[in-house]
Amino acid sequence: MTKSTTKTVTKAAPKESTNAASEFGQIVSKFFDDYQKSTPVKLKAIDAYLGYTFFTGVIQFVYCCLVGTFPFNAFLSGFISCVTSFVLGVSLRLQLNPENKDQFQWSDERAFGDFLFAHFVLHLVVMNFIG
Amino acid sequence: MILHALLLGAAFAARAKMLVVLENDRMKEQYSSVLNQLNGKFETHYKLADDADLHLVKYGKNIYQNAVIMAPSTEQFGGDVTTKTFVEFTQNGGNLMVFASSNIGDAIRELGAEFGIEYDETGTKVMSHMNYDYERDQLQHDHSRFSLKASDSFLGGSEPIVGPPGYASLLIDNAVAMKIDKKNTLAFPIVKCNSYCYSWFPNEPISEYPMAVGRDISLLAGIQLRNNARIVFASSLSMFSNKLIRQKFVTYWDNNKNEHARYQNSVSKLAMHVFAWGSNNSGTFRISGFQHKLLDKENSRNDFYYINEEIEVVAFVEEYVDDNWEPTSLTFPQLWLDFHRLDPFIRIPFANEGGGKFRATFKVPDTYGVFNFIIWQTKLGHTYIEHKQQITVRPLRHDMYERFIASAYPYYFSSFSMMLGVTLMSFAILYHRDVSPAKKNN
Repeated sequence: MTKSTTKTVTKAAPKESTNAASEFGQIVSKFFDDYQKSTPVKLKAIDAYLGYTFFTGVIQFVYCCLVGTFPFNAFLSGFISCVTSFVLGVSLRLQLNPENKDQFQWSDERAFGDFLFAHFVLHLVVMNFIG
Repeated sequence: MILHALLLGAAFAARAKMLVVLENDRMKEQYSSVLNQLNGKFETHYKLADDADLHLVKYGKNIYQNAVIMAPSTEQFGGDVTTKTFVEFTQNGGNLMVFASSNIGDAIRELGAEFGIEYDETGTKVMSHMNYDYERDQLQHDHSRFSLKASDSFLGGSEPIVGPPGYASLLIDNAVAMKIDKKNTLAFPIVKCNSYCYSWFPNEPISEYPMAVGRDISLLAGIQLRNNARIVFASSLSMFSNKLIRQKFVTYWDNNKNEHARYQNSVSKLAMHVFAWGSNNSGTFRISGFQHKLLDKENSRNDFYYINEEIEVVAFVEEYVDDNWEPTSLTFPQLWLDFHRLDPFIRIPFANEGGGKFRATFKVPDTYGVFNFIIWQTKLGHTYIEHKQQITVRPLRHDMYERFIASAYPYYFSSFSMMLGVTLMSFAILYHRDVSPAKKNN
């Protein structure tokens, strides 16, 4: 941590605008570094899944804006499927995160079981609504 | 609606009754040319204008189908006939033909006013210094007898009213100027004067602007009320008299050629056609049948339709000719079909297939609801034809859509990919094994 402090001291002299920009860049790169090092592989897997779900949802929404809402039920079921998968994934990630362990009274397996059950209900509804 | 039309037909079955109101008994011989025409077609009853036994309407119903009033100088009608009686008569569907002349009386003036026809003052005549009758001018210099070239005047533009083209000229005599009130949208001129006419007291200097001048003067006006009752107002009675109607030629002085010339008088033809129109013997139509069905031959249905289906509509139109309802000819002009729900979604003309049969095909619009088929025609000189029939248009049943909609494939794909994704991810989470701490330290 001494390394970072010496870095900031030497940089006090130059202009403020470049200072702000490079600080922001520094924060982002630090964030990514920390993320790489400190998150468990399980959570990274969930994050990858969440990213995938998010982009699928965005693509569907853009498609609907372009093409129109004709089979509105199909659009809704596809979009809701993405959104709900995202939400369930987020809640699973919360419950599996070791740093939040003291907030939940149940085990990881219970969390995963809830996740699967919710997904079962979700996909049942989606299949019925998609027509 | 068809039943109503057929009942109307029943009313036509027997010879129609016509009342002819004359000024005096001599008129029967003076106007025999025109009256014999009417006697042949109708059951005519003759009465004098001041006859105490004159009745048009009794207990709210018309006694006659047609009334011809040939009494221009009447101040008051006899019996119980007033202007209101005439109005009631036409409201009940009776046809009226009213003749005026230069010595027009108050009763006729009021009758005209009731229907939006304004007459000039008693004593005035329509005069024209072009094409006036040269022979008569030797006796009376007022130029109130003149010939109206058919191409100069406006003959109502309608074949049912004036018949086929072929008029040479009309001999006008002793006419009082008629002006049609613009507010009456149902009234139209049949014969208008040419631009050389004006209306004033004959042989008197003009001291103010005449009531009507030139093409504003109507000599023959027609009205067809919304219940298809027809009214004809004529501004000259004497032009239909035997003496003038039989006069074959009208001699006039041609200014350009500086010599006498003559026109042929076609008033008899005009009388024949206009009287026929005025008494429902020309241009009277009705819809005698109407069918609609699905164009698909295998399962034809006509009690309701789905959206976007092809429909065929067939209508039958009949014309009243010589006391009979006959199918219309191939020359029957446009008959319109509206597919109407608050607004006409479709408005197409029928195709005349001959024999009074009219066919139209169209595609039901992409809107469901309760629609009306409206067959209609409002052509000058024709009776107003309208027939409505209600039909339901239903939205597609849930199983009439395509099973998989092409534009929804992205949504199908994404839903399945979500399921696949959650399966893969749950496998990844469950079967992931953390690398042991011993290995990491090394």
